[in-house]
Amino acid sequence: MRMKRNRVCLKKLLIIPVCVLFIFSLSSCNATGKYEKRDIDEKIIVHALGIDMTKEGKFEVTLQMLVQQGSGSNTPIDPSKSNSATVSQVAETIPAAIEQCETDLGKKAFLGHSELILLGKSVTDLNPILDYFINAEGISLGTFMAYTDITAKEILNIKVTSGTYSAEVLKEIFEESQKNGTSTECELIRHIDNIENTNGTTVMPIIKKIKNDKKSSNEKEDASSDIKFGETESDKSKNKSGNEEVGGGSSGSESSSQSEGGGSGGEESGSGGGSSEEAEVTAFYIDGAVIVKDKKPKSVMSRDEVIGLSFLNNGVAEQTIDAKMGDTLTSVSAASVKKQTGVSMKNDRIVIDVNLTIAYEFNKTFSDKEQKEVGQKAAERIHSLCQEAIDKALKEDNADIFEIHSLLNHNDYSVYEEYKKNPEEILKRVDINVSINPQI
Amino acid sequence: MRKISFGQMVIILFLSRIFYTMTFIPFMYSDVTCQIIGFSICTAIECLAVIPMIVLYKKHPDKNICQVIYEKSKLLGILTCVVFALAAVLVINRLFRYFGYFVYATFPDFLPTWLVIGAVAAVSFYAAFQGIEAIARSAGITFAFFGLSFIIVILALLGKMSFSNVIYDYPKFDDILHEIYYELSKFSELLLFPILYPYVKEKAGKSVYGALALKLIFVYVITTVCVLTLGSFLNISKFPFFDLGTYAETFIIERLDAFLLPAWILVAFIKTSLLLLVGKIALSTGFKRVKSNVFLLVLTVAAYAVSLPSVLQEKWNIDVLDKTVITIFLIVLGVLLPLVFCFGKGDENEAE
Amino acid sequence: MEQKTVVKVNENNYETALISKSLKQALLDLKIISGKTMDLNIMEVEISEHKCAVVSIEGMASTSAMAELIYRPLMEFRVKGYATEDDVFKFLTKQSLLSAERKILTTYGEVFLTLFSGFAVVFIDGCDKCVAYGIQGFDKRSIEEPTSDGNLNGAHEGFIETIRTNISLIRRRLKTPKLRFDMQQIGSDSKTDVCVAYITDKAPQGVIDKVKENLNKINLDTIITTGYVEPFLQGKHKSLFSNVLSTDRPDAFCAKLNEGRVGILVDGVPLALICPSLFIENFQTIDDYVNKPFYTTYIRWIKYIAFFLAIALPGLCVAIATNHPEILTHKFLMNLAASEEVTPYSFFFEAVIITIMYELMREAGIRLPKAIGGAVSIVGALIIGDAAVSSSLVSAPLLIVIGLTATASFVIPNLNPQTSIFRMLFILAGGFAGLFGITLCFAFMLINISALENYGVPYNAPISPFTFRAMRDVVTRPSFLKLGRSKTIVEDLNGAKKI
Repeated sequence: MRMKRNRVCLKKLLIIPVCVLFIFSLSSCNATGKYEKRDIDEKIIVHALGIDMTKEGKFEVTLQMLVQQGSGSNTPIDPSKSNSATVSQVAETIPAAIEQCETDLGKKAFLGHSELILLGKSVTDLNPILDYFINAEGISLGTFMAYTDITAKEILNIKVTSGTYSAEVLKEIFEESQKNGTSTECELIRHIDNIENTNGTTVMPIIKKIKNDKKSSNEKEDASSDIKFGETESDKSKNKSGNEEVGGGSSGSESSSQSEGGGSGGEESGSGGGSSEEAEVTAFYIDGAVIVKDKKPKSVMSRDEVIGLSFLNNGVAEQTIDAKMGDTLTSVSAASVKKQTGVSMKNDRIVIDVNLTIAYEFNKTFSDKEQKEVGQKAAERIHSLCQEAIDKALKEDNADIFEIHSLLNHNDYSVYEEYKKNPEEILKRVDINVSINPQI
Repeated sequence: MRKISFGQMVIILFLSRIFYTMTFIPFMYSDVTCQIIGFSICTAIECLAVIPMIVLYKKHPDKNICQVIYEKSKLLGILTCVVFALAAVLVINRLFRYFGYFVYATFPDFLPTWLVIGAVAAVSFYAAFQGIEAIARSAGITFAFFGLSFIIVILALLGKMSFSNVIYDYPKFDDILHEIYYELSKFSELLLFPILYPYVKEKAGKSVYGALALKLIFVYVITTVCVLTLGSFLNISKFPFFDLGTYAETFIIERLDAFLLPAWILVAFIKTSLLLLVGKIALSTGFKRVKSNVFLLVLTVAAYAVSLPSVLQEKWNIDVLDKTVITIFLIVLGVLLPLVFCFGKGDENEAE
Repeated sequence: MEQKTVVKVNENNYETALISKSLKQALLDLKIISGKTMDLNIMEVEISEHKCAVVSIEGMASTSAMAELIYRPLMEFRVKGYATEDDVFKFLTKQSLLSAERKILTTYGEVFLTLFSGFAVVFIDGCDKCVAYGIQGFDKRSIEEPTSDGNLNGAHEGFIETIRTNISLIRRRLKTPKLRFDMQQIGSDSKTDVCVAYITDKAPQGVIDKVKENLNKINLDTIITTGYVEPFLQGKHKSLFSNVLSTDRPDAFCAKLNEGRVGILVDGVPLALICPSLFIENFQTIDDYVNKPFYTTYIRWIKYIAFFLAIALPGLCVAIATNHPEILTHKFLMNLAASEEVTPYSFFFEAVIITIMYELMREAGIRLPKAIGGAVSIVGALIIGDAAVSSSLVSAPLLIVIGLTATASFVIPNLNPQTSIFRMLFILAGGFAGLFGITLCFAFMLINISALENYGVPYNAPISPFTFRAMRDVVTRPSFLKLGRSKTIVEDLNGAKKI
């Protein structure tokens, strides 16, 4: 009898899983604060984050977020309109600035879908930024991180004429540029990886905006040389002429937000409004890269140098190379096929031999002889591009952006140990010899 | 009595071990080279450590270690049973803390951690209540699910792997020793096998080696994938396996981290239910008059109650308990006791 | 002898009471036992000048058969001089073949059992035995196409309510003497015929004995449907799933008998039970074995996906939208967020409401007459499909999800009760605890299924415990060229144990 009663009692324990669900429901219904469930429309879906520094050394964070533009369309999102808006806030730290943005909008920021982290020209120290993003909840390791030659806020405020939102367009530009070698790898995890391995060195592409009526394509090419990274927003605005309105003030409490795409940005708070300049902008382009050393921007690489770097790192899927044959200028499509490296010591110098196999695709019909000649010319051009990159990064800036640490680690461990102790000294002793093996 | 097959036993032991690999690959303690070397040496030690258990099994294929000792000395038998149950509670306590930390660190706004582990405890109780067969069958499906998730993540990461991400260091002796010690403390087969072997239909002894081999392969694969994909990010990653999911991207699912979460929870639940079952079997061997399911309830409540203070105080790592105390328990229960009691006359029927 | 006359027969003690020798007394006893029920027909006749009575139940025996097979031969029976009761009894039992089925009865219990089964019983004055003739003529449904388990290419015959017709449908397909039907009456009042069917050299003896033992344990007054028998066959484990499969198709029934299962037929129900059954069998139809293997394999995987969608899709959507939006692709998330922007309730609450509305519509559609059922669908489609979205009460993506879920659940009709319950559980768990809740719910379901075992066969075999040979018919559908060579029978699926 007792056993039977025991069994009945134990069978009742089967209710436990049901009770668990009940507890969930109770806890969730009463949940407030940290565990409060927020519906998807109660979150700010952040497409991109922009970070600028103010003169006072504060962070100005710009969030580019989704704003529905479905009116007049069959779908909730109207692809013919810009579906994004931005909100900016200035604070001592990045999380504090994001929190202020959240307070302004009355919603919680959801960073899990951020596709881009854009650093303004004024950002001089990556340490707090990387610290934040390594530990930030939800940030994907595949998020792109890049520099801009102006403020991140300006870039994120730009209204795009194609695509659903500008971060999407920006990401596509980065991806396409990586394929043709005009941009380096810019995923967050790759930056962290490089910085961990090289005591704070990495290279970040620079994104710029095209102004249709002001600059020709030739002017774009030279633009990077004028940039001086580390300028704060206020310094820059002094140098600027015209009526450019720059978001983000010098005061910590000041907020500025801009909306895109008609009246549906009305939910945002703060002062400030859309700039008249944005209407002129139609697109972005990648031009050069910033060499970051000791987690600080050190110098700017030109577009050609970046292409050379991409070839050296075996990362070019297709890049058109000009080759001059006599008086005529012709072009071939070059792609990285294989990279062979060797490390040797010669008279206290560390010599890294890089043998690049490059495949060519000709744009017009050539004879075999002509093909060889064009190939040779193109190889010379690629060699010079690589050399430019080496001269700039290694000779000038003494920066390891050529995976030297990895090569030393795999080929000569004793030198690698020295590198870990004193990378500057080792890098000064490194020579990189590039040879191109054309594959026609 | 013989209820589960060789394959199911292998899967049970494998899943109970692999939980730690999912939550902590201790890159933060030492670098990859030390980890791989330490791990390999530890596996070799483990292969030797299980020999007394296997000898005991061959001599007494139908009796678990508690029964063997109980028949020789009632007092010692009862003591062994209690210590087994205590060890099970301690290992569950460590599991709850680690799992709680994982949820706390990766999904902080999700649910209160006490509720998370409470829910795992409740479902594990239900599983243990249904018995070894139900757990073994669920483990089979969990294994398939886990394997599938893992393969999907690896496939999604194939394009992102690069040999240049591999940076190795010359191994340091201290680090390797630490690694072996740390790895040994996770050797929960020592707790599960001596109690569960009478339930295995055939080749129970080989199942331990099967599980060890499977674990070795899995850890080598996951370490390789982590190193090739994450590079030096491993040095700062709390959950490298989980970060693989964060980085992996497919055209259907944007990120695979939350996709890995179910596999994680299932493995935790299987392990908890197995440990509860081991505690229950041990106690019901020592105290035959009490209904075994009463012990199960007591063990579940005890494991949860013991974990609750640490969870509420967010004290996830208790080094002395997690490493030293549990290792001592494991070695005493899984190596020394079988070693002492494997001598002498065995039962008549042969196991294998 | 004296005692027998003293104890009066009544409705409580009639079962074992012997038939009275006196015709008058016997007929009186019949009236007392039946309480003078109006459908008891008693025709008193004289056969060769000896008093007799033909008793039948109105509507149960065929009147034309009775006239043709009973009355006419009886009236034509003549012996020289006065016929004794032995002459008449001899004529009825040995010298004539009045119908295909003939029984000699000695107790009132047997008399009533045969009467209520549609027999005509002839009582002879002075004889303590009577003779029953099977001339059943009650109205029954003709064999029709099965309604619940439709198919395109297989047989179009379904079971009907009459057990003997069902037995003939099975026997016609399995012409082996090894096919056995063991009949027994269950239900203290209803005395329902329940038949255990099996093939002797294929079904394990342990399973046959256990089924019979379980049937003998039934202590109910009546057996009206298979649902009365099923719990006794399932065993003690409380599971949300059932390890007893029911089918209304004789061809599927025969296929299962051939795999070593034991079938149970219940009189009055157009369904047969099969045990032990497996979880995976809910996804198999008779059409699978008609179509080409590659197509069947494809359709099977569609069904597995359908089961997953039917159970988990709304819950997963709620979990992801509420707790893990990072899983969704960016544009999907944007569309979802934009759709949710205008709805008044949370995604979770909407999912609960729409699911309840769907169950409402489904139940209304089943219970109502077909003509009105269609109207319900139209109303449902109008309310849910159009008005709810256009008035921004519900978001369109959620409606697509529930629509897809509903369609998916129709693919596996056998598991409909389980999918309905788990769907709601998954929505609740997903809403409150995200993927964590969903996984724990799944773990609960997994254990619930895994613990289910009957007659030595685990319900989730051959997946776990894994049986490679049987898995061929789960992952793919092997050709009969292969299936014929190495067929899996139930004993192969029992994992580590011996049945």
